[in-house]
Amino acid sequence: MTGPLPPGADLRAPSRHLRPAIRAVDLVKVHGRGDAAVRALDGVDLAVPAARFTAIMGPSGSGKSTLLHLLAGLDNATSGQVLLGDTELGACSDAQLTALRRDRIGFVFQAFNLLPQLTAAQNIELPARLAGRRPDRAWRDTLVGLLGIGDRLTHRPTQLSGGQQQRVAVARALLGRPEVVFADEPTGNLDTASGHELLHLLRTSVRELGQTVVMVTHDPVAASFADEVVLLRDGRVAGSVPDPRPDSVLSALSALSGARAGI
Amino acid sequence: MAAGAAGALLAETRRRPGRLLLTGLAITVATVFAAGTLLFGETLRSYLGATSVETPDTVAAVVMPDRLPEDARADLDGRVSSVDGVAQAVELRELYPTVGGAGAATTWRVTSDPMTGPLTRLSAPPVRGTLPAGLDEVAVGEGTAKRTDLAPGDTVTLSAGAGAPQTVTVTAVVPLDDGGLNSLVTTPDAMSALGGFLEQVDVAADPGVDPAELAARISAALGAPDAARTGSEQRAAELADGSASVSAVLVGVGVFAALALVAASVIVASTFRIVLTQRRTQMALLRCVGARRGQVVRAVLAEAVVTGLVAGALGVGLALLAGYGLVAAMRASGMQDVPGLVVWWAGLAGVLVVAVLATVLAALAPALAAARIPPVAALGVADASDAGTPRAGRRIAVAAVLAVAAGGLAALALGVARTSDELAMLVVAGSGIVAFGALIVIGPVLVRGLVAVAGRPIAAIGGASGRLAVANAAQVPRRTAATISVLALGVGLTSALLVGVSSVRAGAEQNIAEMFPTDVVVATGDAEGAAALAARLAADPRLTVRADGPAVFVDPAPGVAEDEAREAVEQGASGAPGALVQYAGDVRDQVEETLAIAQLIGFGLVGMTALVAVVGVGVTLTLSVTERTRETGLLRAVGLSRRGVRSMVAWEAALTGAGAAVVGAVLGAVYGALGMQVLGLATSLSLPILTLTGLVVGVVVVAALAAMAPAVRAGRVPPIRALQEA
Repeated sequence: MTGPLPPGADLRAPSRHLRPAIRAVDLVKVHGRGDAAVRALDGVDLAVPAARFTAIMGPSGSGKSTLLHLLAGLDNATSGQVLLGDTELGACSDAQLTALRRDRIGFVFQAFNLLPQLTAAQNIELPARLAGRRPDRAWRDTLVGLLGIGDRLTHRPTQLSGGQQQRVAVARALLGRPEVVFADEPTGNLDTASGHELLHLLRTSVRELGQTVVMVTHDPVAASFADEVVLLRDGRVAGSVPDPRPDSVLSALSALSGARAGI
Repeated sequence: MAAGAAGALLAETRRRPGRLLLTGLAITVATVFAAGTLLFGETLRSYLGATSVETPDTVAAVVMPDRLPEDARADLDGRVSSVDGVAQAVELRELYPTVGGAGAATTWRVTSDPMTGPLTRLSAPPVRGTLPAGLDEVAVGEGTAKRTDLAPGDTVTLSAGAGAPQTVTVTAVVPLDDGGLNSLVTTPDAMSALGGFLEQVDVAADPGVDPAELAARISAALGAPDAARTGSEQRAAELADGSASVSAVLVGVGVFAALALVAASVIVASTFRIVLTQRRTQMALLRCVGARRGQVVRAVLAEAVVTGLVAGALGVGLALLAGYGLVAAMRASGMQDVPGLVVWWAGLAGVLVVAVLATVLAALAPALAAARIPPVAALGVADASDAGTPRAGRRIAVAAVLAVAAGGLAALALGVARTSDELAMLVVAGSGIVAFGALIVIGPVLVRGLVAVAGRPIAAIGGASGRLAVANAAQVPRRTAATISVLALGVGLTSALLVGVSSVRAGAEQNIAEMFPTDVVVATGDAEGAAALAARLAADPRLTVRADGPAVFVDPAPGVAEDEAREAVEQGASGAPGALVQYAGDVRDQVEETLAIAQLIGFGLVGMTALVAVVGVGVTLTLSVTERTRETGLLRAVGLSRRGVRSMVAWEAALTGAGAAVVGAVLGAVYGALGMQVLGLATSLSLPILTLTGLVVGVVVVAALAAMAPAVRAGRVPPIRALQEA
């Protein structure tokens, strides 16, 4: 499933040849109204392939966070569609969206991933508990072993380092075998070593567990861990970088800035 | 510079006035109660003062028999009449006999009146009939006639003391201010014959005689220097007496108003702690830009002053509004003699000052804590307030000392009980306050136990929401404990009241059972009369009859309804002169009625503390929900439904309510029992287990209801808030 991309892939239609885990069709999001209205997303078309690690990048204000919120069912689009598998998110009620986030999506945020009043183990099992399901203990133990947090399960978040907290969040995201895991600047609050460790773990989950991961980041090094980088500018998809390396991502980004400067 | 720091914080308050109202809400409720007590008390004082003056203006002097030796009280009216300058002297006698023949036998008031002349207290001629003149004639008060259907020509039996019941005839219905007590009026001679107690002698003066001189002359004639005083002195004394009874009531109600204010202070201290922690960054920023600790403390206290002023003024205003509204509504519904509201502005200002002081005192500890926030916190992220493990060891030690002190006071109260009931009850109250203090200190430690005990069943019933609620409560043990203590205070007062009422009821039942071996007891003049009456009643197959001495004991025959038996007894006894029929059921009804009124008043008093406590649950949860916005967002993001969020908040309230209900019910029952013991009513001590259980369940439900507004608010938090900065 993780074969190399064919050379010369179309920059404007990223990875359409693979079965998409989630798709955005002409997605528009307007914040505010009247004179204060800001068009955060201006017609985004995107298909995220399954079992791949996709990074979304772009300058600040490009709409990358807004896009993540809409894809993850955390916010409602002004127009356009988001399709998770065959489910159109815009047609879901609040209750359906809640269940969908709980059962079919996983999250890793930049900070504040864990409830301070629960232990690490309780945080990991939270979505399953919320669904009233008994968590899959064998799978949990596998994940916990993989993430190296086996001796931290009874600790509360305040007793964990930033890197440990993020790994607990990854375990929570992966426990339900979701269709997509969304990560919003997951390394933003970590030192370089912990950040790289976390990115390795995310990539491992894609390579070895067949997980689909979508990550928003502004760090070219972090983006280089992905299979593909989608570039966003002014609320639109402005291109993609297959098989990214830090330098190729950097040059693509500076090309974007140049394009904005009017070249 | 202090003004600068204070100004910065107050600017925040101006920006979000809603939060100030929320912080002060408990104070507002307590102030409404305190100000309302004052308004009600002053109005009642002026009204009762006016109505308690009974001696008419025509009385120039009065003689007080209790200032004469007992053997010098004979023929007082005759002896006073012969004093120079006395136009007329009339004895005023009073008697409280049991009256039969007009419905159920109850205690009435019988007073004497000259019926005519300057000294009569009747304000108008009879409404019907002619004024009584003979020894066996009486007039009935207008209100009493209405209640009992008595009319001129009817007869009633009066039974007082050991003597045989006397039959008297009603000759007139007269206007009489009877204050709701059934009343008869008869002539001084008739009262003398009935054995009425001599209260005073009213004296009318000849024209031109100085009342002071007259009083002195009368005293001299009677041989006791202060036996007489002037009419105006007497009226002044009556006014003071009337107000004094109100003052005593006011002191009692004031104690409960103070309790409500204490409860409000605990809530305010808790809310200030939460609000200040939420503004931790702001405080740290103030320190960063150069505010000294003292300035931060002063700034917080300035905010407390503003909060207290606004909340207190709102409370006083609401009380005034309620007072005027109530008077207007009562007048509109036809109660024309409702007195106008008496507003004592200085007193209300005092209430406002107390409200401000209570708020400032409550804010003191949180202010000191806020001043300890290091400047560097300006750069950090705010933690949950009241978080962390409580210092259990110190708390347990202090609470143990307080508990021992409370126990010592309780033992002291039992010892003092032999000398003075009042003093003993005061010591019991003191012990209760110390116990409450112990509860506040040990609270955060207790919360851990509560969570351990209640956590499992709540998780079992409430699922994930329940589990999260328990975790939330455990995360902020101090806050949870403050809410629980205040709610426990309300529940404790209520349960003490329930135990008291239940015990008094049981005691009354015992008494009734002793007084009434049978359902009906007929008292007659002598054994022969009793035997004759018993024979007559026994002829009726509906009755079981037994005569014993001058009394006849009657039970309904098996299978005969109470009403039917009553009819049979009344038929049979109607011809017997001087027979006084008493029904156990009537006495029981009367006791129940009195108890119901006492219970209602009691609930009104403790209800205020309970209301403050429930407001405390709502306010604390609202602030907690605001504080946990990001956490709620995260929960929504990872899949907790809106309903789940709402029930999480409700479960937290229910957990708080359950803890408070159990602690409060137990402590209240203990103190209720202690109070009964001290008052010597312990023989009939009764624990109303069922009612107390109902109370516990009710408190849990009410707490959950108080969580409704914050629950809805929490449910509205969008999942996207998890990604935003706090």
